[in-house]
Amino acid sequence: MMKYKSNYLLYVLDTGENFKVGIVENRANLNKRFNSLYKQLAKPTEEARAKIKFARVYEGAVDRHIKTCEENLLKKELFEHRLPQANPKGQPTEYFDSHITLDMIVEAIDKQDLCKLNLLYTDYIPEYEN
Amino acid sequence: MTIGNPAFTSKNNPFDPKAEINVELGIHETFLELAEQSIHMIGISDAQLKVLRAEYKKSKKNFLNGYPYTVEFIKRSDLSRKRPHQRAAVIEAQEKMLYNWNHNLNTPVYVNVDKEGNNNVMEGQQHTTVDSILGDPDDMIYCIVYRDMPDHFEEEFFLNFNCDARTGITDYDHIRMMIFIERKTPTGNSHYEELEKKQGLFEQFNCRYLENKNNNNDIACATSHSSIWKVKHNTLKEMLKFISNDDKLRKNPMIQVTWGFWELMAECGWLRNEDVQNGWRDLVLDMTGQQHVKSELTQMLKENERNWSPIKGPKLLMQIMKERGVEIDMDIVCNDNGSLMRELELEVKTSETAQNYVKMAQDDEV
Repeated sequence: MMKYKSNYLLYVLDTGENFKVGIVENRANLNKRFNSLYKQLAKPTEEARAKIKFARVYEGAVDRHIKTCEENLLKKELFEHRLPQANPKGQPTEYFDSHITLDMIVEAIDKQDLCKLNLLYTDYIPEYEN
Repeated sequence: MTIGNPAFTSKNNPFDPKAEINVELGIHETFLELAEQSIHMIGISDAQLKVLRAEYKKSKKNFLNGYPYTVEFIKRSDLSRKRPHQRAAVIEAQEKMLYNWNHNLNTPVYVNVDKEGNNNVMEGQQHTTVDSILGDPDDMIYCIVYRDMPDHFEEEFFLNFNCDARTGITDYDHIRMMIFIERKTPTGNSHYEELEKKQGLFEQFNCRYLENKNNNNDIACATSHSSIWKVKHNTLKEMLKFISNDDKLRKNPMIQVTWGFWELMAECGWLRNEDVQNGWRDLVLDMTGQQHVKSELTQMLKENERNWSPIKGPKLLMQIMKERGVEIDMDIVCNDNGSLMRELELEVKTSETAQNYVKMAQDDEV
């Protein structure tokens, strides 16, 4: 049976308005990453903050599978839907525009047949640490 | 068995002379057709070929210190100018180019010194630099000077400088041109003379050799790395055949470590060994494709505090494959070098990344 030993994890962050795809290089840092993303989003209301969650978190057979999957999502599958940075260079961020749904992201992940991934969490909200 | 890449249609197949894309470009002959008409077919005798090759080799050796040019400053007035009838022929272009004068500031002028010692500014650069009404005759011009060059150097330079740079000619076109040139001007270099046959293999298996630029780094069944031309014909043939007939491998670009591994297979005498071929395939796909193999091997070497080595990389792949259950004699891979064998064994053992790939194969079997 396939074992999933990657140190890296792939996450799909739901901000309540749109989605972001990213990786953590160490499993132990997943909650810490959530906290930092949560802070960066700086949502103004409690109601908006409550919607922030990791819609999906995946582990991989090896780190490479997580890296390739993220790379293919960002550079190929969903490249055109990446939001630009809010500066004159406007380079693409890891956040997608509102046309991209969770189903579309999951479908793009499932398409990566060389990447052996295992769904670790669905709708995961780590506790917020100040 | 499917030959070639099914993603190529009659519209976009660069090797189909009837495909629209090629008809538009005026490419009506395939490389194979061109190769068939190559020098060996046009009746040059062996003796004649030998003389031509010797002449060519001799002229190549006459480069100054092995370097074909010097960098010097020459007075503008010492550079040859166009004669009136030549000038008249280019007046229109000259006027137009003067408007673009700024583009030409600070770019060096290429000078070929002929047998009489004239500093000939090479074709295509004269109009706005040497002749320019804007220039002072005593200006010192930044020149790259070639001396004692073989015949037709200026023409070849003209082709490179004016045509390549301005028309976006690709390496693919270069090879095509090389085949044309090779019909009449044998190089005396067996590597180049085999290019036509090697290019034929690319066509046969619907693979592509593309210009080296970022956008071309990730194109299926293609590569931009010119070292692929150094791979022996038979090795290249087996490699392209295997990759182009594999549904998954042909979705990847080919990289240097791909043919590095196939060259090692050939050296070991395993070019047609299906176990080794398939073992390589499985490992490469576990690494999510050829384009990631180098970074995975680099990571393994890093975990052993070592740097990437193109010689060691393929051998490390062999060691991992052996530990994944492929029958591989590491004595042959390492040419009976015991310390290298122990080193590879240890590197796989101490690398977490390598161990994960070994375990992955074991997990798959369960």
